[in-house]
This record gives sequence, C-alpha cells and structure tokens, in this order.
Amino acid sequence: MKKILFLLLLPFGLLAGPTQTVKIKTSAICEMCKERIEKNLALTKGIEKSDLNLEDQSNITVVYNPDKIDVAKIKQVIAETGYDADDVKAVKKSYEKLPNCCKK
Amino acid sequence: MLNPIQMNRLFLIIILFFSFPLWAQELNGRVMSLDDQGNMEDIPGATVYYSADKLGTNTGADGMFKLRVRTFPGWLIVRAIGFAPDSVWVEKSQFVHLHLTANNKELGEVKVVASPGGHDVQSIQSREILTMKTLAKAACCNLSESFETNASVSVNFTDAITGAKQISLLGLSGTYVQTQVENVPSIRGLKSTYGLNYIPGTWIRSIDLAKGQSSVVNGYESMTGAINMELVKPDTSEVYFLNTYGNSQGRFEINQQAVHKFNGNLSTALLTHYSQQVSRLDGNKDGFMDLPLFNLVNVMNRWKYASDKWMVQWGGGYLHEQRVAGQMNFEEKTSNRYFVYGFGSATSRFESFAKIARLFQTKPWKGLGLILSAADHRNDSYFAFKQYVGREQSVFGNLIYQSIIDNTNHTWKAGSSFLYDAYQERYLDSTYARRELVPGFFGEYIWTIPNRFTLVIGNRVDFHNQLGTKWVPRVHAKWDITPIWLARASVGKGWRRVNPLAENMGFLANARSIKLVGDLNPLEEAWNYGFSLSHEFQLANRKANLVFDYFQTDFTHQWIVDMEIAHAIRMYSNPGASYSKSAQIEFNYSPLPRLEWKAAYRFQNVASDYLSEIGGLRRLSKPFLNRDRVLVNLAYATKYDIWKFDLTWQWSGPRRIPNAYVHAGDAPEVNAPAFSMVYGQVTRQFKHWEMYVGVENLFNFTQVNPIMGAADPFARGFDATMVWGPVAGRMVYTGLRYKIN
Repeated sequence: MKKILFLLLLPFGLLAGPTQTVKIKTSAICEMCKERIEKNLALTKGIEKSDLNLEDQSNITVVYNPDKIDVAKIKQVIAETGYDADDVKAVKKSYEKLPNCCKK
Repeated sequence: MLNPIQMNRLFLIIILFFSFPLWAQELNGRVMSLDDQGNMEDIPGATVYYSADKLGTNTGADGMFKLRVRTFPGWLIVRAIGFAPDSVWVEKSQFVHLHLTANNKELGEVKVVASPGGHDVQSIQSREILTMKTLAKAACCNLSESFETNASVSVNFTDAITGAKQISLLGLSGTYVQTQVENVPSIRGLKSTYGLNYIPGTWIRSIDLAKGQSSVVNGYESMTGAINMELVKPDTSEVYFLNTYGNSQGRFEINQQAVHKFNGNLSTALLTHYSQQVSRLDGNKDGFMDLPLFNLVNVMNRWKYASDKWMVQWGGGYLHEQRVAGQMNFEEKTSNRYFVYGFGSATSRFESFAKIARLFQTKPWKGLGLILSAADHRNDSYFAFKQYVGREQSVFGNLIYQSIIDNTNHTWKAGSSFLYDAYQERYLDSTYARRELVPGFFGEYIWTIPNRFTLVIGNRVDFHNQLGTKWVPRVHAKWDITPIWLARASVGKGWRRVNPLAENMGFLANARSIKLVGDLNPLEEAWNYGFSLSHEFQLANRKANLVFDYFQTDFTHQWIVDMEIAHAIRMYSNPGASYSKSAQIEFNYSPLPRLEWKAAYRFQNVASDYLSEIGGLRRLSKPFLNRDRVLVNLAYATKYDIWKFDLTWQWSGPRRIPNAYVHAGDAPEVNAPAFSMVYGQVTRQFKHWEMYVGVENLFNFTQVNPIMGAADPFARGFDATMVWGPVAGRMVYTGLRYKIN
C-alpha cells in the first residue's frame, strides 16, 4: 500500500525538482514586514518556503527552485515589496506605500 | 550607628523599594488595524485590559499602550470600536504587537456608526458586520446574494417570474428593515421592489447588520433591524479594480472601480457595473423562464474632500435596468400579450447625495453633520396585459449635532430631519398619487461607564402630513458582565408608511384579483424588544464564541397582504394581532489556524390574524416562512490566503403555504417540504489577481411546480407567487478579480 502511495506521489516530488536555499539580509523591522515579505514571496513562482528572522538581523531564508527563479529575482521581489535585500535597494514607490510602522 | 533591627528594617525597605519595579513590570505594546489588503493603521483609543491584574488602559494617538503588570501569565484583551476584539496570552514582560481586523460577524459587538463627519459614535446594538472577507465567500453578485453565509438573514424570491428578491430578518420582510448606504436612505419607496439587485457586491466594503431597533438618529423606519452598507471610498489604496463573472445559467457581470487622488484633500472614485442574463433557461420544463432576462447598467461617481475642519463627501449615480420574463417563446416586441404570457420591467433611477461635516480638532467629541440626498425613480412594468407605472421623487435631509455633558461618559446627539416623497403610480385603470412631507426632531443621550455599561435613550417626533404626529422612543443597553460575557437589550418603536404596490409587485404575477377590504390605514407601526448574550471562551486552547439572541416584534398597525383565499389577494389593515418571535444561537470556532467553523440555529414563530371569508379572525402562521433554519459554514485558507475554501450548508425547515385550492376558511394546513442548499467556493490568489470557482445549490434542489397553472397562464388557476424554494437548479460560476494598488 505504502509503495503504491509512494509511486503515486513520486511524480509530484520529481516535478518539484531539487531546491536550493539562500539567505538574504532585509530591512524588515517588525512582524508586519515579515508577513508582507513572506506573503509576496509565497505568491511568487518558484518559491517553496521562506522564513524571515527578525532577531537575526532580519535575515530571510528562502527555499527556491533554481529552474524557475534565481537569487537576483528573489531580491527584486523583496525590493518591490518595499524593503532592501542585501545590496538591492527597496523600490521607492513601494516603500512609500508601507504603513508607518514598517518605515525606517 | 544603626542597631541590627534597624538595619534589617532599612534593608527590608531598600528591598521593597528597589524590588517594586521587579514586581510591577512594564507591558508595552502597539495596537494597529489590519485590513484584507494588508493595510495597517494605528488605532488610538483602543481599550487594553490585562486579566491577571484586572488592569486597563487606553492606547494613545500612536496606538501605543503601557501597563504596569504584577502577575504573569495572563490574558491581554484588546477592544476597539469597529474591530473584532483580540486577546493574547502574555507570559513575560514584552512588547506586544496586536493587529485587529474590522469587526467580523461579531454579533452584538460594539461598532462604529460612521455618523456624518466621521465622528464615530459607539452603538450598543446587536450587530453583525459582514466584511469584504465574508462577502467574498459568496462571490456572486449583489446585495441580495451577500447573506448566503449569514444565519440571521434569509433571502427569498417573491415569485417565480420577476426575479425580485426580498430579505427577511427576524421573520419579517425586508420592508421592515431600514436599509441605508452610508447612512443615506437607500432601499425604500419604489426602489424596494428590486433594490437588493441594485447594489453591486464588489462596491460594498462592509455591511453592518443590526437586529432590533437602530438609533433614532437614523430615522423612524427601522422596525426589526437596520442594514447599513459602506461602499468603496475615494481615498482607498486600490487605484483600479476589475471583476468579471460568468455562470452556467447564462449570467455575466463586469465591475470596475477607479480612484484618483488630486491632492491630500480631494479624491474621487468612479464605480461601474454591468450585468446581463443572456440565456433563456427552463430547467423545470414548465414553459416559463426560470430566471428573467435582464441587463443592468449602474454607475456611480463620488467625491471626498477632507481637511482639518471639514469633511465633505458628495456624489451621484444612475442605474438603468430592463427585465423580460414569462413564457419561453415570449418576445417583448412581437408577442401578443393576451396569448403569450410575458413580464417586462424598465427601471431608471438617478440618485445624488452630500454629506457635510464640521470637525473640531481640539474637541473630537463635538461634531456637526448634514446629510442630504435626492432621488428620481421610474418604473414601467407589465404582467401580461396588466400595466404598472411608478414614479417617485424624494428629497431627504438630516442634520445632526453631537456633544458631551462634562465628559465623554455623557454624550448626546440632537437634530432634525426632513423627508419629501412624491409618488405617482398607475395600475390597470387606477391612479394613485400622494405626497409625503415629514419633518422631524430627535434627541439621544448616551451614558457610558467605560468597559462596564452603556445606556442609550433616544426619542424622536415626526410630523407626517397624512399620518399625523408620531412619537418614537427607543432604549438600548449593553452590560459587560465580564470581559468575556456581554449582554445587550433593546426596546423601541418604529413606523412607516406602506407602499402597497411597489412592495408587493411580485404578487401581481398571478391571475388573482386585488381586493381592498374595509377601512385601509397605510400606517405600519410596531414595538420591538429583545436581548442578546455573547460569550467568548477557549476550547482546546483555540478561540470560540457563542451568541444567543431573542427578539420579538409586536405590530400595533399592519398592512396585511392576504393570500389565503384562492383567486384573490386581499389587503386590509390588521384586524387583530400580528407578531414575530425569533431566537437564534450561533457558535463560532476556529479549531485550527485559518480554519473557521460556524454553526447556527434559528427559530421563528411569526403569526397574524387573517380575516376569514365567513367573517371573523383566524390566526395563521406567516406563509412562505420556515420556522427552523440551520446554517453551517466551514472556511479554510492556506497560509497567506493563497488558497481559500468555503463550504456552506443551509437547511430550511417546512413552511406553510396558502391553500390555493380549498376556499373554506377552516381548510387544513398545507406545508412545503424542508430542503437543503449547499454552496461551495474555491479562490486562488495570485500576485495581482484572484480567481474563484464556485457552485450554488450543489444538490440541484428545485421546487417542482413553482408556477401553478403554468400550462394556461390566462386561466383562473395561474399563480406564480406560490414560491417557497429555489426555481433554478445547480449553478456553477467563475470569476476573477484584478487590482492595481
């Protein structure tokens, strides 16, 4: 039974492909920022998982599928949300739309 | 030198002194609002309560609060007007960040009534707030379909031809519910026939549903409850929004909204709606269309100007709708209406409004507001060869002043209103014209013991040119027994002038003759009283709440529309008693994160004395109204709301239908069977858009013969008004929402 289930699920596992992990430093300062960034990443193709740690210099750990997205694009998504991502500066227009508590 | 005892004392004092900060630790935090779009704002004036020490405070202008707490752990409970209360378990001194969402289905929760000028006034009624999140659960399409996941309101077709719908609340029809849009009178007068279809769902931001009487400030017409809708505001963050919708029954819709900010003060919004029923559907093969063909254009433009001293909102709208229904082969232009049964209706309506508020920056408790609105409504209809023409022009004004006595624990409101309403109606060969002039005055006093008790006493006097002087007293009370047990009670009076034809338009879809019996009094007047009890608690460490309410409405005057005798609709002034008793219990629980479960049971006992044919009175339960109703809703969302699932099951118990065959006054009761309706919907969110697929009436339940005598619509037995269940069967729909922020 378990074997059959495994065989059934195998194609999905293969579809997901191998994942890679990257750590990016962001300018997030509060829980809200964390929520925003993680949500925007979750809605982005190729992102498997992300976790922003506010206590560790706002570093975000992103698990992604390298066939679908690369690190530069991930940084771009974070910048478009209104936050700095390593060397990529936040998109000004998005930053201005952030609620007051999320601004530096 | 100090002796050892003195030393000890000093030591003790030092310890006491220095250890005080250890005992009383600081608990800081910030309270913010969070809406569906993820927008946040500080909430000033929110009440923060710490259970372990029974300590309370309020948030400052920046939403921040500070408490000196002695015992850990404990519950931190935050309440703010217009938001669902929230609580968090605090184990140590820390910074607590709380995000409140707009008041969601929080029956009986205190809520902001946006009085003109944006001066929020605490109301203490039994209320339910349907937010965008709730409204999105039933994606289709307008106000009449917004209550599918709501236990208190049911929506029924008035007949099997016109597609007109009527809500019912506390067992009484929507005409006894005061329906307003941003505190401007909306669905009343001639608009009440199809009014529920004229408010597009995507325009609605929230619906505030109040059971029992509403405040005297809003007028005298609320008898069983009040519905107030907030529409899309010009200063919303969404710059553009597009929604398209299509269903398996041949209906489609396009909704758009665009906003523009000219500067910090001035902004505008343009809202458009177009919908059409394109295909003729006859699932039950009775030769009649199950749903009317229609096309509806609805446009609204609104403006907002806000400065430190003034807040002005104004706008206008236009709608035009055409409906055609009847037999499948009916063509409006070519068919002979004496041989092929057809129904047609053309409605056009202009509306405009202005809300002007004077603000007092240094005295936020003070406010002066003026609401003005005007409407012109035209409807031309025919039921086969029976013609109806209706015209209505109305102007409404409401001036409200608000202030305090000494402090904000004693506030009062007073003002004056004016209504001008001119009707011209023609049906068959009779003409009915009337002009109503209703000036009125009102005053309301609100006494608050913060976090404990609120009492509102309101009175108003109106001078109706036809019905005379009317006095309306209303009293509301709310008692916070504990932070988790709330009790509310209300008693009051309401009245209105009946619009016999417009409110009963659906009843013209039959071969019955209309008989007016005895001295007719167009006044309807009722007392309503009730109470509610709500309790919040933890179940297996997850939040739950339980709400019970009971309301009773007793009519002193009522216009009875009597269908109990075959071949006639009799209208007469209430000869005896008429009452409605309604009890409801609702349980909300979130067993897992993002999983919400709601179960509700409603009991209604509604009866009137009807005139029997041989004379004398006969007490009967209200026809077409089910005594029992059960609603279960299950909603689940994956993380970040990427997938949303929603399932609703509604069970409606048996209901009495008038016995159309037997003429005798003591005929046995005929009951329609109980039935279930199941609704389901799945929504997938993408970065800039959303897509949804759903089903209504999953098990394809329909009333077998919604139209009696359908084979010969020109014979005496033809009757399309005996509708108690769904006419059209299962419907699958899909749509998308696209937005630019």
